[in-house]
Amino acid sequence: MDEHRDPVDELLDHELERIIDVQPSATFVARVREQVAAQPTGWIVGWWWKPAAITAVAVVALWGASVLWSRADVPYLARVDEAPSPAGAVPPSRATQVASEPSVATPRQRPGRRHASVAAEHPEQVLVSRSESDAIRTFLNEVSEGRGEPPVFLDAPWSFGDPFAAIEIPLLAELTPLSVAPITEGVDQ
Amino acid sequence: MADDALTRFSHAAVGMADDLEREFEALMSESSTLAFRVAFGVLRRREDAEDVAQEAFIRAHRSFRQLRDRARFRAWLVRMTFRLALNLRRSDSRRAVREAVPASVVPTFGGEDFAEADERAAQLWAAIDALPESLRVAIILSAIEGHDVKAVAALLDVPAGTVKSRLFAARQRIKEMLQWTNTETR
Repeated sequence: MDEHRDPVDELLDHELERIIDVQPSATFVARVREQVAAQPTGWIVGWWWKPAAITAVAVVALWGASVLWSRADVPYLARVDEAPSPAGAVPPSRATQVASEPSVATPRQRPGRRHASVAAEHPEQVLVSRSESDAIRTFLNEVSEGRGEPPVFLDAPWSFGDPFAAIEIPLLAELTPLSVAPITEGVDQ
Repeated sequence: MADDALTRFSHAAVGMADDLEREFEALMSESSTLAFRVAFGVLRRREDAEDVAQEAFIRAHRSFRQLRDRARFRAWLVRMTFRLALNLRRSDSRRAVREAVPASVVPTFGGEDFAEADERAAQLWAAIDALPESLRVAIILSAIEGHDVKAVAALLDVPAGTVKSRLFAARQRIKEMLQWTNTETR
C-alpha cells in the first residue's frame, strides 16, 4: 500500500470492500458441485472423440486409396493372337500400342468397368495387366537378343533353349511297376 | 495383447479424467467466492449472482481440459463470470426498468440480502454502475479479497500499469459522482 495515499481513496476502498464483502449462500458450492457433476462427462468424451474421429477418417481414407489403387491396376486387354513369335519379338512400341488399344478400353473409361463385356465380345483376347504385359515384353526382348540375367527358374534341371519350345520335364526318379500278388487267405472262394 | 493395451489405455484415460476432476474441484472450491462476488458486483442480487457463477463454473468445467495453464484458471473464470453477469444484466428487463431511473434517485436495496446496505452503499453502487466496463471490473476486483494491482492485472491479463491507470480513473470518477472530497470525508 502507498503510504501517502489520499484519505478519500482509502475511505473509498474501504467502502468498496465493505459493500462487496457478501458471502454466497451456504448451499452455493454444493449446488455448483452437483450441477457440474450432472453435466455429461465432457472431457472424457472430448478426450476420445477427436483421436477416434481422426483415426476413423484416416482408416477410411486409406481404404479408399487402396480401392482406387487396385482399380487403377485392373488388367488391360491384350491380344494373344498378336503375341510375338519366337523369331521376332514385337517391338516395344507395338506391344504398348496393343496393350492400350483404344478400341479395347477407351482412355476416358476405367478399364475395370468394361473388361468383362469386352472379353465376352472378343473371345480371342485375354486379360493381361499392363505390368504383366510389360514384363513379358521385356523378358521376350531380352531373351531374343541374348542378353539379360537368366531368371531364377532357368536354373531348373532342364535346359532352356528355345523359349517357346515345348518344355520336357525329365523324370526325377525311375519308377518300376509294382506287382502285387492277389490276396487269397481269408477270402471265401 | 490388443485387449490389454486397450484396457491400459482406457484406465489411463479414466485416470487422467479423474485427475482433471480433482483439479477442477480444488480450483472450484478456492474460486467460488471470487466468482460469486464478481457476479454480485455487477448484478447486486445474490440469487442472480449465484446463478451466474454456477453457469460460469459449468462452462469452465466443460472447457477445463482445453485450459493448458491451470494458473490462469481464476483469471479465466473472472472474465467469464463478469461477461455472463453483464449479459444477464443487459437482458434482464427488470433491471432495464431500474436503470431508467435517473441517477439522482437512489434505488432502494431492501430485503434480507442487503440488510446492512445503507444510503452510502447504494450511492456507491450507483456510481460503480455508471463506470465503463473496463473501469468497473478493475475497481470491483480490487475490492475483492484485498487484491492488489498485480493480482488485478493477472486476473484481467493486462499490464499492471494499465490496472493502475484504470483504478485511478475509476476512483476519480466515483469521487466526482459522489462529490467526495478531502473536506467532505467522514
